[in-house]
Amino acid sequence: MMMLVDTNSEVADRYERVQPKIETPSMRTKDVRPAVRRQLAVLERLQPNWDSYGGAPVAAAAIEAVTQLFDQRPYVREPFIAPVASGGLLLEWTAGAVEIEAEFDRDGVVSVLWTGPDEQSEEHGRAAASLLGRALDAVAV
Amino acid sequence: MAGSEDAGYRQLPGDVWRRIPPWHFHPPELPERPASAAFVNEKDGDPMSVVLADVATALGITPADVLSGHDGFALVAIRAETLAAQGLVATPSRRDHEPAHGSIDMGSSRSMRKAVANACVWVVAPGRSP
Repeated sequence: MMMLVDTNSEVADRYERVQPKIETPSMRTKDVRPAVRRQLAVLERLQPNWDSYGGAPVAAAAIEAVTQLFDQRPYVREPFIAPVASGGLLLEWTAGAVEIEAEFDRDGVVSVLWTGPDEQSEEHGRAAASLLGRALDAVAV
Repeated sequence: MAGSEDAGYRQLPGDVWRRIPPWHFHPPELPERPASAAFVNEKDGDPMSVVLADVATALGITPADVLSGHDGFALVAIRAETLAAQGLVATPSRRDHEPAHGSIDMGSSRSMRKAVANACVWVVAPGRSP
């Protein structure tokens, strides 16, 4: 036997109670990628000797590595991004007592310094990528 | 980071000075310290360039001279005790037009660079005239 349909509000209320919360990107804190792209657009225009000590322009591989990082983890706090004399890029976050620094060298290879309240970890290469993944959980939004 | 020109930078024996480009002011809006990226060896791996403050002062070279031609840059001092604590040594490496030039091998330790960035003091803070 067919049941009579509840009013729309009742249906909506039931749906709300039984359905899991579905979170979409538009409901979350902003995607960090546009802000990162703006910073990168400025830094990739740096000329040789930008630091007065012969600093190299930011390398394309470093830009690409940073872009890929945020394609994979777009919902993190906006980092401070600085050029490195070798042609690399430094990304930095602070979250309470936690500080994270990730440096991508001119070949796009990452090294990470994670500083917590009572400990510090420093890794390079593949181990650094793993550490960075865990560290970014601390600055996820 | 402690001190600024306004707070009265007081030179101590063994200080070394280093220019800081605006891209290394952290945070950019209200800089408190340089980024650790400001304290690295040069792009070809040569040691990091500094000015030996004792030599500079003896020769009459001022912070304004060190920043001359570098608009928007700031100047920091790394104290001798900071260098010693990190196992760093500033070596004289005089150049033709830089008689107080010195060099420091910063190695590859990120934690050491971070410690230097946290401990250095402004000689000429961002946005200040020397």
